[in-house]
Amino acid sequence: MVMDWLSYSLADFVPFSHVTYMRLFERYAARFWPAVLVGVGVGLGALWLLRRTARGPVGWPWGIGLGLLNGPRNRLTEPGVERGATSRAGYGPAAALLLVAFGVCWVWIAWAFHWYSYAPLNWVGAYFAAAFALQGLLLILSAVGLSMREDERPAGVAWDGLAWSGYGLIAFAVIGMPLLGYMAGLWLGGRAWFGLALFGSSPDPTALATLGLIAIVRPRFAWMLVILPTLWCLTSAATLAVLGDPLWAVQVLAVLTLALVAGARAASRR
Amino acid sequence: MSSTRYSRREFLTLTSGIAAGALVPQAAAASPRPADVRTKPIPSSNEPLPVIGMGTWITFNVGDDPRALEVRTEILRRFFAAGGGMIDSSPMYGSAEAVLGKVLGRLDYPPGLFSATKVWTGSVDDGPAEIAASQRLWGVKRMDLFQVHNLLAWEGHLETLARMKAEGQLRYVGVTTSHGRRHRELERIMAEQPLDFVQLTYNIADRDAEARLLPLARERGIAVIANRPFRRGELVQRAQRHPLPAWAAEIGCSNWPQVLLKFIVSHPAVTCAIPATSQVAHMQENMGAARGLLPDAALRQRMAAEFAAL
Repeated sequence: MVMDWLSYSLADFVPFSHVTYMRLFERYAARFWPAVLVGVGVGLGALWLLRRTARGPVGWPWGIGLGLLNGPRNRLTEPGVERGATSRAGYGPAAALLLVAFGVCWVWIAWAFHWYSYAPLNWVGAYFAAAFALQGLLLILSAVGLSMREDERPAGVAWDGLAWSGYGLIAFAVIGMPLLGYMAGLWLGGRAWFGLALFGSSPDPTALATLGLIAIVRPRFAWMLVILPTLWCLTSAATLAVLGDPLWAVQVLAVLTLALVAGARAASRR
Repeated sequence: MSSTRYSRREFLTLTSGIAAGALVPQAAAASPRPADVRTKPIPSSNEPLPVIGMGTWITFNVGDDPRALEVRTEILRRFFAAGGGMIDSSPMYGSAEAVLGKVLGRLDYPPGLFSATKVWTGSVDDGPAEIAASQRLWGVKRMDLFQVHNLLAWEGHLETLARMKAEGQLRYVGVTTSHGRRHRELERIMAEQPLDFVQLTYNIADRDAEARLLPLARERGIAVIANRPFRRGELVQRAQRHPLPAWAAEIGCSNWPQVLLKFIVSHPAVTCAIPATSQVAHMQENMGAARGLLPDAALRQRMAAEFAAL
């Protein structure tokens, strides 16, 4: 049995063409219009809410650049907040609210995208739906856990380089990815504007933004919350690569950037 | 390789017999198929089958997209009008079987249809339910051919299919592989099991099957379906950078896809090739390979050598 499955290649798991995949997003958006716009609203709201919690001396967008360059040094600590406390940046009702909102987005995508729209084209979609539902549940549970830890909540939010990188990733997922998709459509053709992948309703930007949120909020068991989004980003990149879509590299680069910043930060704390 | 070479006399005898088979009154009466469409007999029944069929991997997995369904309807309309017969699919191909059911329904199930699909599950117990689901999706009472997909759990599925065939629930039984996978195991199955069909990858660049599998198929009286005739378009793209050779016109080819298909179906052991396409124009090009002369053994050798040098 194992040998049977090993005889398959990556292309065997992508049983549709690039045209069909792009049409899937168009028909998905048309079917659930205007519900897909709700997700964009959640994404923009997240950017606004997170910005309100940032009290570091360097405001965005400069903080994002500093985050990439100096992430491990934790320079954006607010005076009065202990260095160790900054690793809990983002705690509070806002963070819990965002975790729940993101979790609901994952559950929505599990049902509306993977189960209802994607699974008819690819049997793997049923498993993707289960994974997305699980991730949604984990995010919601992590919010509950967060709200129960009043004693550990710091007075304010101090952002380090990793947090700023996470913020940049959310901004890219909510605003940058649709713009990039639109430009790719103009350049490469084959993409309609209403079929653009949007945060909250499409898996790719939602997975990227979730990684960004975890990088900021850092709830307990954060490692558990980054597994499925990371796996999805790699799976989606592989799908696009098989289909010959040059945008496959975008998600890989975004995930790698965040991983590098997180790795550098972890190394500096040893 | 020596076992796969055929004398010119042997080759011409075989292909002329095939051409004659296309004109038998029984076949003409059963189907409105154009008389000049080349067929080959299925060894286990002698039923004539058009040498060009159609695959559905990727191309027919379009879900309920109305725009794509319109194009697939036109593709199948042209396919049958040009004398096409076998359509091959699988539960692995996403919505392809459901799409075929919709499109064939729109065309009132043309009488030339030879329906072929596969059983593709690691659980032998789940086989009958999957088989029933495929028949329901296709919308046919009885499939012509069921094959064990990629040799997945083949022992149990072949037992199921043999029983169904004996009960008259399907007409033919086969096994498939692709990409040159597991040829040794396939050879053993072909030697030991009572198969009507075997499906494998064979084209002008992937010729491993010539060594043992194709001769064995002839010896055992097993029909051969050649999949990946263009290696998913790669061979056509490679060839189309070069002008069509002069000998192409001698065998009635006006484009490279027809050359590539005629190379495949001119092998004496190959019954039909199943190119897949999502474009009406490509379908018409492909069906052109079902007409006119086939290359003889000498020209086949030349074709393979010249293609390798491209």
